[in-house]
This record gives sequence, C-alpha cells and structure tokens, in this order.
Amino acid sequence: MGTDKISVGAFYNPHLAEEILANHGLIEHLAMADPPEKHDPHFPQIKQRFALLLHDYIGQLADALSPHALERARRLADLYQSPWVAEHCQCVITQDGRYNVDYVFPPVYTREMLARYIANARILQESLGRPLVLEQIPRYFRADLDEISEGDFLREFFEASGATFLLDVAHAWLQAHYQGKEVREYLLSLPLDQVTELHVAGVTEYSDLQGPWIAPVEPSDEMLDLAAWVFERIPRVRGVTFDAFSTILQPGTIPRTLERTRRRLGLA
Amino acid sequence: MNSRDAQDVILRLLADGPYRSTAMGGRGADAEVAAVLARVDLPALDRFGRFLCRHYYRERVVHYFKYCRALAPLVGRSPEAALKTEEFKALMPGLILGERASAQRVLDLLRRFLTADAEPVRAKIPYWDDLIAYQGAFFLSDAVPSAQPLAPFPARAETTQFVELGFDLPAVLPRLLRPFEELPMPLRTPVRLLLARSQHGEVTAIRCSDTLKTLLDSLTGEVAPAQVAARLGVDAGSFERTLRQLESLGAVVAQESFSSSHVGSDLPAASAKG
Ligand SMILES: [Fe+2]
Repeated sequence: MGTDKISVGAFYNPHLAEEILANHGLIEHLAMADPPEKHDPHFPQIKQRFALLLHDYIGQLADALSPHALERARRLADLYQSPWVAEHCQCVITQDGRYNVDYVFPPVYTREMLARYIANARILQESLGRPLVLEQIPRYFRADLDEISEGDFLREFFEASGATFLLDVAHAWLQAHYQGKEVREYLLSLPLDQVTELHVAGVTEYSDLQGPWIAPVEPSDEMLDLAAWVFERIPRVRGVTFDAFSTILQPGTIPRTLERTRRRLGLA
Repeated sequence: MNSRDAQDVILRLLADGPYRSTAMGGRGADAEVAAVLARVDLPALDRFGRFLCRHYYRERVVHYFKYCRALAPLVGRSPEAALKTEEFKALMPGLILGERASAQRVLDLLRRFLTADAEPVRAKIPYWDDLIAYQGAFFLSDAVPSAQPLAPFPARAETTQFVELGFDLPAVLPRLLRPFEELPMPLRTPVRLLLARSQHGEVTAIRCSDTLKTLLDSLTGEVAPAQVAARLGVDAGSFERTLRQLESLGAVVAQESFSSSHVGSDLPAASAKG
C-alpha cells in the first residue's frame, strides 16, 4: 500500500475466498482478523495478490503484553508484511485474568488508563518494528467514570505514542446514538487529522439490546453518507476497509459494498 | 480503587451473571464497588451483559459444533438455535463467561436440544451421538480451567478428556464440511480420543491407545516418573520423551517444566485441531 493512493479493501472471510480472489482489483487489501487456517487452500494466492493488514487480537493495551502475545503478533505481522498493525481501544480482561468479556469493550477514559495505553503501545510498536493504528470502540451504557473525553484520550494517545487512528464509522454512529449526540458533531470531537484507516460497516437491531449494534451487514445509505462526509475530513487516510468478518456473511455482500463505497467516496 | 480496578468491576459485572444479579439487587457490594455501581446505568449494563453472554456462547457453538451445523439441512435443527430457547434465557443469569462449570451447563442444554426426539436423526446419521460427544468435548476444552494445584510429580491435567466413540469419526469430518451427495459414513469401530488443552488455550485431539490411557491414568502426581515407567515396563528414556510431548500439548502438568526443544514423534501422528 503506497502513501499516495488510497487502498480499498475488506476483511478476509475464508468461506468467501473464491469470490474475494475473483474480485481482485475491486478489493485491494484484506484485513486479517484470524490467522490463516493451516489447510486453507486459498491463502497462498490471497497472500500473493492482496496487501494484508494485521487486525487480529494482539492484546489489551491497558496491561503489559506478554512475550507470547508479542511473539505471536510479530510472527503474523511478518507473515502478512502488514504496513501497520491494528488494535482496538479496548479493555476486556480483568487484571487477574479471571474475567474476559471476549468482545470489544472500551476502557474508562482516565489519565491513569491513558498512561498505560501509551507505555504499552510504545513497547508493542518497538517490538514489532511496525506502526500501530488504534480503533475506537463505542460504549453501550452510561458509566460516569471518565476524567477526560474520548476525543482527548485518543488525541493524547496518538501524540504520545506515535500510533495513528483507525476510525470506524459505524462505531462512531453507535457511540453518538447511545450518548444522545449529533453524530457529525461527535465525529468532529475526534482527532480526524490522525486517521490512517477508515472502517465502513453496518449496524443491526438486537433484541437483547433493544436497539442497534455492530453487525456483519452492509452499511445503509445513511451510513455511507456519513462515511463520505468524514472521508472529506481525514487528509492522511491510506485505507478504507469494509468491516465485516463472520461465517454468516453472504456471497455478494463484499463486492456490492465495495462498489457502493467506492462510488459514494469517489474512489471508483 | 484506581480506574484500572474500576474497569475490572465493570468487566466482572458483564462477564459474571450471578455477580451482576447480586449487584442489580443492591446487595453485597463493598463501599468501593458500590461507588462504581452508583455511576453506572445498571439496567443498560444488564442488557449488554445478556447480549455478551449470548454472543459468547453463539461464537463457540458455531465454531465447535460446525459438523452438526453442516448437517442441519438434513436433520432440521441447528445447534445455535438452542441459544434462542427459553431454557437458555433462564440459564443466562447463572452463567460466568469462560467458566468451565458454566460451559458444562450450556453443553448439557445443547445435548438435550440436539438429542430430543432424535430417533429419525439417528436413523439417517447413525453417528449423530458420537458427533455431539466429539464436538462437545472441544466446546468444553475451550473453557478456562481453574488453576490446578501442582503435585510433586507430573500429573494428568484436569482438562484432559478421553472421548470414547463408536465410529471412526476423525476420518470423515472434513468431508462433512464439503458438499456431498451421499452422507459420508465412518467405519463402525471403537475409537478413543485424547483431548488436551495447552497453557495458551490451544486444543489438540489425538488418538489414544490403551497404553497411552494407562500411562495418563498412572500420572497421579504422587509417583516419580521413573517409578511409573518401571511399573508400566517402559524404557525410562522414551517414557520421559512422551511426558514432554504430553506436557507441551497440555495433557500433563508438571512442577518443573520440561524443555520443549525435545518434542519428537512418539505420539500417534493423527491429530486434529478443533
Ligand atoms: Fe471496525
């Protein structure tokens, strides 16, 4: 992925490998959420044709990363030749390791947490010899435990660690929705000048949540409009990725979404 | 309590159903935890906790019961539908994500769901119960074990499972995931598998001979390896190599870790990752 051109891609869904290979060109890069299966017959070709981005679970930056986690990330980043590696702005496992929600969940935005993120992100980048992008995660329920805003947390994190921003439009839409904010106003509170990668995704209704949440579905027209609006405001963006990774993802969804995304963002 | 500890309180509320129920009832929290609870929208947190619980088990059912899922059109029931039942809904407040006892309760529900009135299914797929036993063992291996106290000598890990099957399932499993005209039929023959869970959560299944089972059953943690080898009439050198391999798989826990640089090929070759 060069510095001059914006690459458009999707997540590697192994059950759709043939369709992905057939749409090389429309799809330029693939984010890798899981390591390739040992017997995946398509992976050698996938690796040859597409730029690959490490988007696996590396570890949570709230705590020190284990040597095992660093070694695993290094091995995968080298295998993919990933130009940057991604992690989520999340804290999902308790310090004693006893409880793990095993799903993206954001930290409380405090000075103490920020210092932990900065220190561990520096170690991670140094250890991998590759830059980090950090993806923001929405919060479903109110928790008045923050000392600083999410935008300030991210801005200070990027400035101090040298990492940059992976902005997920659907996450932003959900965060604004559940905080009762106007989404464009909320987006302007985030460090948009730091965005390296943009995630485009859909949301769907969940009965347990009595409302919308992250889902491996196509973005609505409204979501793509929002992506197009923010795309005008992220001058350093290098990649746009359709964020959908699931065994239930249907054939046709990735090519259709990338065509719509390219058209709406003027990247046809 | 610092903010990292406050985060842990929230994570436990989300992952631990009984803890959350207690908090929702306003009981049992110490002053520091109560201060965190007071600043959180608890009814919304409870909804998110239920969402996470269903998501957590759905991911695992989809992953570990993939062979039952592939056969769903043939049998008219898919395993993940068990998570939409009233029975699962009633189970949720008592579940702790990752806990082995919780995984066992979900597995019991899955078994009931997949084997209820299953005679017509068994008539079509004679190895249906074997399939459930095989996948269930992997499902259970995924759960985080409680810390096993270290014995003086190498001991069989508590997470090690033996799965006794009436069919040679591993031989046909990959074919179940590809389109087929005639249902793949494994050989009807007794097969014993050993499932081991490594320290990092990787689960390995290998065919387990009577000798290997006897060996593992002898590893109580109270007897020195040389003595076990002598009792079984096995050469001490190859016995130690086997122990090393079993430890690297997680089937055996030992106080002094064996070097992993000696893993050879003494174990049966057929191994499968779930
Ligand atoms: Fe994303």
